[in-house]
Amino acid sequence: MEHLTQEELRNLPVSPKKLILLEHISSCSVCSLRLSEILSKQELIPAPHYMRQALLLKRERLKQKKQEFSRYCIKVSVAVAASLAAVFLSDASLGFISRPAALETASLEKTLSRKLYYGSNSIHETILRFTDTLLGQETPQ
Amino acid sequence: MDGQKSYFETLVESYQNLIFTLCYRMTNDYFSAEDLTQETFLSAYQNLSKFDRTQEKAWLCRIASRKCLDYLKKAERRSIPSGDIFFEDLPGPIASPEEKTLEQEVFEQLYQHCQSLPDTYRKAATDYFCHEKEISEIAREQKKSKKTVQTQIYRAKEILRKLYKR
Repeated sequence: MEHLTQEELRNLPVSPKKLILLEHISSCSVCSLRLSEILSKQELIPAPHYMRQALLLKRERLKQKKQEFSRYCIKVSVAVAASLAAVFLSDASLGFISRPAALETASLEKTLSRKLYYGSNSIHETILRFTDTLLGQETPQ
Repeated sequence: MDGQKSYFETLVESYQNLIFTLCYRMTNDYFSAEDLTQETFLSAYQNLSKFDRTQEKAWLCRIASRKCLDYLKKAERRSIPSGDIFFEDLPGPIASPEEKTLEQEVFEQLYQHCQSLPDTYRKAATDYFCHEKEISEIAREQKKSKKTVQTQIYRAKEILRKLYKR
């Protein structure tokens, strides 16, 4: 679309094509600058006396919301990182123990990572037994 | 961010009248123009880091035009509430044969609407919106609490919004 004429800009408030013209102005730097210059030369209506204060208040609330959201994101990230670290570190330490020692204390077994270890081991052994059985059935003796 | 904070305040002080005039001329509604002006500046604040600080007027006018456009499109779809006895009984604004400045017209219309308000809200609304008094001053004069005056002004504003949309 071409730039708006001077007349179109001056008669914008009452133009039947107001929406179309506004659509253009909202995306055209040249026409929005010309509109602002036309308006500046005409009589300006004073904004309400409480406008500035209201704006500054809303701006502060916006800032606070952003800060709260950032704090929340940081908390969640730290919690996730700590959980992952706890899982991987405990798994890493488990790697040095091939079989649970006979003298292992009952308190160690209470930890979630230990339970996960035993659980995954038992699933693994069950799958191995199943595949052995399957192979035994399929392979003719 | 502090540098941007004072720059934002400078923008508001320099261009609030321009943006308010643009919004009022597009909507012919004092309080909608107020809302749109606030939305324009808040949008500008959120995008301040992307702005190169040249042609401020054009940038703000672009944002304001977009806000006015969204408002007008929504207004086309909005139906005017009916069946409210209070509004049906009120006369419309009186057209004066004299030539007036735009500012005079705007404030006369605002004053007339304030005078149409129920007794409970009329004085506080007229003092706040037309005479530009602070809430604390109105509370002192009327010997009421600030909270009471705030509530009256809030309710008056809601009624005034509907009056402008008639």
